Amino acid sequence: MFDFLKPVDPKETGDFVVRCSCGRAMWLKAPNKVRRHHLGHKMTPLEHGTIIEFIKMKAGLLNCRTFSEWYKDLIMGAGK
Amino acid sequence: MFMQTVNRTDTERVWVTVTNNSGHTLTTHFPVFKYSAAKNASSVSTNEAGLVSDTVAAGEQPGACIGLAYEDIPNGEETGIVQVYGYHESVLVAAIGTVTTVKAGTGLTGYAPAGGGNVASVGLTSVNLATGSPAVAVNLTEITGANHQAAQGAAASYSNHVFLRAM
Repeated sequence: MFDFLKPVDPKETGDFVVRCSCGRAMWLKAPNKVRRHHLGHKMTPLEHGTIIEFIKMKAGLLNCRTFSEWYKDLIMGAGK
Repeated sequence: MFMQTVNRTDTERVWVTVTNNSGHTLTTHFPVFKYSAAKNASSVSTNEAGLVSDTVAAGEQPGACIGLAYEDIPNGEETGIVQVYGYHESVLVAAIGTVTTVKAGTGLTGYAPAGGGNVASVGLTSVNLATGSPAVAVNLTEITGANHQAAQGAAASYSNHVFLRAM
């Protein structure tokens, strides 16, 4: 029931939490539905994350689309 | 950003996300290029990239090298990440036949033989430095003739440790 609270550490070797040039913290090997919003953006290993970002990382929420990403998919017809 | 001393465990690295419509998989450690104008002029303003053999027409110079694929990126509008700066564990060496040793510290570029890109020239090497091609990586361990002669993609065709400077 509370699986979403389990710590989510790197699932595979070479995965980093990165800071995108647009400001979003994300896993380097994020799912395509997240990554397609950051085409051409430069990403570098995360430094100075916020408490909220830490909670998102541990709760497995970094790989979920933000509201902006979800809404852009919705209005652009990109599907689920 | 602060530039650290090159080391293998805690380095500054930069990646970009690209889209692969080139027709082939972009395999990990393979150099990734923008398209030259004859192949796909619009790739300059998009984030499309491919192997040098898919992005350059015969007789032309290849587009700019973006960096090395950080993961396998399948063909067909799949996005994937390419490392553009920092320490990288391995690099595919161009299979261009008998070549002398490339010493540590030498720059590496994409290889475009006179007839344009082909499958055997997908990797990096130092041969084109003399013609003024920019080095996109610094070789950190010796690359031998055996690396240049191995079949492209075989275990022996990969070198160790480069420092990427494609950004």
